[in-house]
Amino acid sequence: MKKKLTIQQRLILPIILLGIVALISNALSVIGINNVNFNAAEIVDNDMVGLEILQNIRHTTTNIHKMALSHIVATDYNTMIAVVEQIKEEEVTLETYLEEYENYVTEDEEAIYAQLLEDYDSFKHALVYLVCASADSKTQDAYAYANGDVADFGSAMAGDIDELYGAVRARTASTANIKLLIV
Amino acid sequence: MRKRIWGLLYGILCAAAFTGCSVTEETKLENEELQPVELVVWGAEEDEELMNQIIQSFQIHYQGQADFQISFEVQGESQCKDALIGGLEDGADVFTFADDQLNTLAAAGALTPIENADEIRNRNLSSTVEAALVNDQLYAYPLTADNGYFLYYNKQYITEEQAKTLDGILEAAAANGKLFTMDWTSAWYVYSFFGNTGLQVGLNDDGITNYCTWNQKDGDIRGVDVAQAMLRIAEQPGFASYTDEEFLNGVKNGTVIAGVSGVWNSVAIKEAWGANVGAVKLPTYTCDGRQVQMASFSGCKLIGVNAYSKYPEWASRLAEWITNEENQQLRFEMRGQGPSNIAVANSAEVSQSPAIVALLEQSEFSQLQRVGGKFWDPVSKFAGNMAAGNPSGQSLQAQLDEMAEGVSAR
Repeated sequence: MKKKLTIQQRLILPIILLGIVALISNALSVIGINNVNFNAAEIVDNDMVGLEILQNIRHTTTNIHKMALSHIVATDYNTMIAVVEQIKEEEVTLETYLEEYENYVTEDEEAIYAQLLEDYDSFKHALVYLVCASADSKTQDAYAYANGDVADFGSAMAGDIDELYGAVRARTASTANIKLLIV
Repeated sequence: MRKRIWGLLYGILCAAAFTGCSVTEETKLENEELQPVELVVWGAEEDEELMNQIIQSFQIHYQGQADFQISFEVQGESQCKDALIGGLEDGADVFTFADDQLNTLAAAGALTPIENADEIRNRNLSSTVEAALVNDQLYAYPLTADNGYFLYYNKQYITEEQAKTLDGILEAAAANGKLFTMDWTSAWYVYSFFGNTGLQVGLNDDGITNYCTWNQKDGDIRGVDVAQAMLRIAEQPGFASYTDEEFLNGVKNGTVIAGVSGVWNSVAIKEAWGANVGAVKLPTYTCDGRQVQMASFSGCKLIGVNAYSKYPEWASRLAEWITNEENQQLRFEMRGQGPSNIAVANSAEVSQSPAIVALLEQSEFSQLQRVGGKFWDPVSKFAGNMAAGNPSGQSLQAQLDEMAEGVSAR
């Protein structure tokens, strides 16, 4: 025999159900917000910092290239010596950035990163030749290096940086989309 | 039973102790594994024996601190800069070079300031320290204080009086069917004809470009006067323009009885001529009907450490070792080279060396070699034409103008 529910019970049941739904919904919301926070933190901590390092690498490379050109146009040894010291300091800075960026390289980006290191190595060698020719008053040769190997490897580095930049951006967008969908 | 237990305990303790010893020994051996240090040293061909001896003593001194593989390669000091700049990263870790190359090497980033500069400054002659300075920073280790030239002559054929003038020397050489030689392919030696004439050459304030008045058309002595004097010398049967190597070969085979060279050949010449070796200041030469004292460039030799060396600390230690008091003494004994080290330079033995005495005598007419890179080729070309008797017939003034323009080119 069926037991009839009292009016009080009939009224409280939907409220309980609603409460349960609200509880679940809130719990999901909290989890979602946590996910968004986590995702945002990941983007800020990893991708944004990575992008900033890439920008620094690009900026420092351009600086070095400019310094090499000022070495050629320098009209006295003192300026040349000062410039060559600055170039070496910038190279140390650039190498620190490159090393630092390794922490943000994903498996998919390893090949581009390796290429960037290789291009930097060639860029650095070409710079040595440029500066040597410039110091030895072989201005034509120095310009040939500046417009040749130094420019070529500098552009190659810029290309690698663009590729890494694009990859990080794509990764960021896809991470954000996935998490938003989840939410 | 009790004894057995104690015995067992002792056994365990001993085993533990031995095990501990074994592990420690292995760790120690691992720590003692020596790091390989590969260094290449460049120096003059004549210095090979000396440098190998110095390298060997360095390895003995630092034995057990690294696994050394140090090799010596022949590279003339005067061309060191060119060789290094052609491939700096593959160049020698430690190299010997003439002080006039210092600015270029520093500007190329091949040299960096020395860390213990005060120590090095205090134990070397101030002139050699100055030669190793750029912007008051020491960029290289002083090695010798003798990079100049003077006259060597064989007393068997040339009298002391004849050795005072180039005319006398050439006359004696021709009379004996022998030669007086000087390297006119090198602007370094050719400077001697222009240096005391009032005609000027030198480095501009920028430290790179030169000024040159060797083509001057007026004044007490004109450029043309010097050129004509050189042509007259070149025509003499007793004269030949020989490189330093050819000069030494001539000394050894007896065809050369006098020549302009430096202390680096003193030992070899002494071996060839024995007690007949004469070493004095450069002679005078006839220019525009008068006797003009031949001038010379002076300078010193330095040891540099390649800024791109893979072992900068060991390379610096080796450079310091090569230039220390003991090894400068050894250099003087084996090669007769004038030391930059104060203690060795002040020794009685050094101050009695005929070559060093001749160099000091010549120093009154010498000028510190400070010229830019554009000095060498135009002067060498001009002097080459003079040595060959001006085969093209081009006017001397035109050739002087061309040379001066090339020397002072920007």
